[in-house]
Amino acid sequence: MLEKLHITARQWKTGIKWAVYFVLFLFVMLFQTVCLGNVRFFEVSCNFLPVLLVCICIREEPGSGGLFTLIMSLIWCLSGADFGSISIFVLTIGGVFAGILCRAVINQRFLPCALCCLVVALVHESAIFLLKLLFNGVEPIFWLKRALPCALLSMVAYPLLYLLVKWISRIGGNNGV
Amino acid sequence: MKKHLNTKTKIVFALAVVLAAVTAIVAGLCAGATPGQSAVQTILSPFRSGFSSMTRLAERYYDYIFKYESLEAENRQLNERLSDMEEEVRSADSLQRENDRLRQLLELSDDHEDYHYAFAYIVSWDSSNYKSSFTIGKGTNAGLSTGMVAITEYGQVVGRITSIGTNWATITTVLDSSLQISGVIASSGYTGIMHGAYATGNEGKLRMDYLPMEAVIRNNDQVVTSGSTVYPKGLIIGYIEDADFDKTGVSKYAIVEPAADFDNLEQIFIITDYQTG
Repeated sequence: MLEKLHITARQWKTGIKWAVYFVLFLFVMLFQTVCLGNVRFFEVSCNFLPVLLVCICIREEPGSGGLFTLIMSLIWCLSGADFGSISIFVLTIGGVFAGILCRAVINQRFLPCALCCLVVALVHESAIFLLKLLFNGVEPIFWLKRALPCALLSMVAYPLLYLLVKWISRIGGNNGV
Repeated sequence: MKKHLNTKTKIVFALAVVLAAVTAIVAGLCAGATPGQSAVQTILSPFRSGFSSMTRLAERYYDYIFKYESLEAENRQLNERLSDMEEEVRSADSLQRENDRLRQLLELSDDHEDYHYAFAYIVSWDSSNYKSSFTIGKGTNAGLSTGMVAITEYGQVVGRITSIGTNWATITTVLDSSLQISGVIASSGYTGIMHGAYATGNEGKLRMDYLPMEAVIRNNDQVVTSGSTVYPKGLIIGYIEDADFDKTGVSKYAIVEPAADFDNLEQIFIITDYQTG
């Protein structure tokens, strides 16, 4: 059947892989907004999506990972996320650079990836905080009260997301270094 | 490193910049939901509703498994009380045999016969640290529209519909600093403007500004809506917790504890129609 559609087995498996990534993204987004949306830990809410998207960018080839992150962050923005436009910019650029860094300089192991995820999550929360500071008059102390704890707390899901992404990336052949 | 910055990557970067700018501009120009938001939220709404139903089911099973013994003891106590109460009911006046459950749920209908309601379950919350809003699983298909007020079954103000689609609506709560309500202290009649106080470090509270200097403000004074074309009159907003002079020194402000229990909010009622005045 694949031959009739002019799709190779490898292309089919690659398509399955990206579909599974999408399902994982959707699950994390729904879990975060439905189950944990009104839950606060130390007066702060979690945002696991930057961690997930950076993990995917690190595991996959920068162009493909970046494109996937771009589309998913666009969906996240259009689903009503606060200052979603900045998320599109920060997560795509940050994710791609994290992926390039892990391929060119460091490696894709657990701790280097964790550091990259933390940095991107922190930059993301700081960017949103900066916009809130400029346009909504939030007090500067809120970076310590909200942005920093949110980024740190979001890393709680990193081990599970790292393992899931690592397992999914093996579908259709390993693209990692 | 340069080999990784190929044409595809550069195109992705350019697209990211363009999409971020376009979404920001469109969001700024459109009041309420943009067409893209409307489409995505309409598609996501059934998924959110399904996920929300599964979460409530899981919570019920959790309660059943881990609270079984305490539930069993409570059940025994309630059965004893029930038999005592059945005795009381039998000897009560016939007027006291009205439907208690419906009256508790819609007690407002007796006080406000001009109100028309639609009810909805909360399907998801905005996970931002700077906003307080949630999404319900009903929209224009249920007769809702932007600007309608959401309340609890006890007439406590929850918020207003700020964006809407066919089968979803986003309600910004009174805790959000972007929402302003005109309120009045019920006992003294002093009016002020209320908004969420997270930006001043009082997360979970409301701030009532522009109170006159001579206003006498007491703790636990009830604050209600003053009535307008947006909010019906007399809905409970909260209770005063603290008061002080504001930075300008020409007026006072009060910190208000909201009446609605936002931590345990599951179902809300939207006032779809009412008579002003």
